[in-house]
Amino acid sequence: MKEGIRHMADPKLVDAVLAQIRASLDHEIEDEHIERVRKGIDDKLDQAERVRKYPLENGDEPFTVFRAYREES
Amino acid sequence: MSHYKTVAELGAMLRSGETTPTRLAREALERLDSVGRELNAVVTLTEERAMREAEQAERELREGIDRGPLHGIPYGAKDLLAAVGYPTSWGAAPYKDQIFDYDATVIRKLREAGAVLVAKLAMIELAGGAGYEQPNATFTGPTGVPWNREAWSGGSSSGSGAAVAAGCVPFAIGSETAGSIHSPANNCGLTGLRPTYGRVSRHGAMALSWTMDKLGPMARTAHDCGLVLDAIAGPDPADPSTLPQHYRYPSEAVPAPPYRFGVVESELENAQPEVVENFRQSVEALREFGSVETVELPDYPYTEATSVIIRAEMASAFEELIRGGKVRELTAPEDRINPYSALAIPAVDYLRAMRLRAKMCRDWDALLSRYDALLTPTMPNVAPPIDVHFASFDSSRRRRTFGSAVNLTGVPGIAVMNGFGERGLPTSLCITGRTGSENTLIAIANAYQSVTDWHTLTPDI
Repeated sequence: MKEGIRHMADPKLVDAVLAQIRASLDHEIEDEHIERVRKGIDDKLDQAERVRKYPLENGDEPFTVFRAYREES
Repeated sequence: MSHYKTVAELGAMLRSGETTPTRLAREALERLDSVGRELNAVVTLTEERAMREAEQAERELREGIDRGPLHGIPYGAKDLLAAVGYPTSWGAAPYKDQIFDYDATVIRKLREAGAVLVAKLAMIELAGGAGYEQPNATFTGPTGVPWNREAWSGGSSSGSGAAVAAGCVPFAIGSETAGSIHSPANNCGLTGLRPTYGRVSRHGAMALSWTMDKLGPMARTAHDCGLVLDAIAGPDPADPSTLPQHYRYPSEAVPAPPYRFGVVESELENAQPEVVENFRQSVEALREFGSVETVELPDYPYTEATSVIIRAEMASAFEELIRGGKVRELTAPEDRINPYSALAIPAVDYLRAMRLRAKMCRDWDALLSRYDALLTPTMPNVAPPIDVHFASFDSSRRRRTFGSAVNLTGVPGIAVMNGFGERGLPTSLCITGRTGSENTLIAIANAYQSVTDWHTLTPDI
């Protein structure tokens, strides 16, 4: 992929994702680590945006190893 | 002394009576306990099991029972492979006392082939899945390079690389999700084979990314890698991703020279000068065996798709560790924090990356079908210093388009030492081929090693 301008996510979106993560934890993220988690969220939003830029058709399926299961007797 | 002998050489020594399995096991254990520990390559010596397996191998050889090329050969396994009787730490403090009551399929197959497990070897915590940014990212401490102990042996199969390069064991098993066999093969000057995804069962191995994890051999020569792969490959009902085809090495069904090579020039753009120079010389050496042309890779967001897929699968595999807070017990400060953001990758983003991955696989197969192998440097740089953050070493070289692409598409590749770069550290040539082409790649690497002697050099340690 050609290098592009980095997409910076809307801070409100980053805040919302951060709130979702914090609400799902059994513990608090320490205050001094919050900025790093925000940066991680921003990176992942940017990566997903870059992946989304490549067009897919409705029929483009992922490979999968899922199989209906029946134990052999 | 048997240090630095290849599997094939040791096999000949065993059969001529020049040495015995118990003697080889004792020598390996002693060297691991001294040199191996000095390098931080060892997590656990499996002495009792090793001597038991070695004694059985010895008894069988006396009785005329020969299990093949690995019979009586000592080896080490990355500490993400379950082995009865010993902890399997995954390189991570929260799991350092974890015990499994079964052998991973790879360990079982090696036992059946007569090989002798002598050690569980050091690795980056969680195989690097937490996003480490420095060598000091495992509870056993950073692993050094035998050629220069102030340099890092690579990751995440850090101990597997260092132990083989230091002459502690003739081969080791590593794993690769996105570079974890080839990085230490590059940094330590080894031959490292990343098999096709599904060639080797992952049953009993720590799962970082179910759709990207591969297990493979690290050894001195391509021939040895083939011998080991022959023992560990094959379908396994316990791992539904394993390929149905059986693998055999050596095989007569391998294309002979002349080969068609494609050189990926774009991979040289950010490489260190010595890496580029050694690569050019390697390509010249391979011209004896075939034709060379330049190729361009299909344009996809390889590194981004790799990150989305690995992070999403990692977050699922280690959800309890992260949500429950034990993630804070990991060694590298960044590993205690990075995993949080992976908890919120939407399923649609993961599936989009997986759908795009299927298109990449088809385009890569079309590309690779025109060549016997693509040639690149294994890494754009030699091993970084052992005590620095990667960003301060050479951040411009960290973006690994090719490494991401080959792991996303699951194609095999073999790394072979091809010279030295800065600070007296090894550089490496990577030979990549189409799905299922391991024997072609081994044949090409064998050809390269037949006209060069880098793989025969040993560090002064």
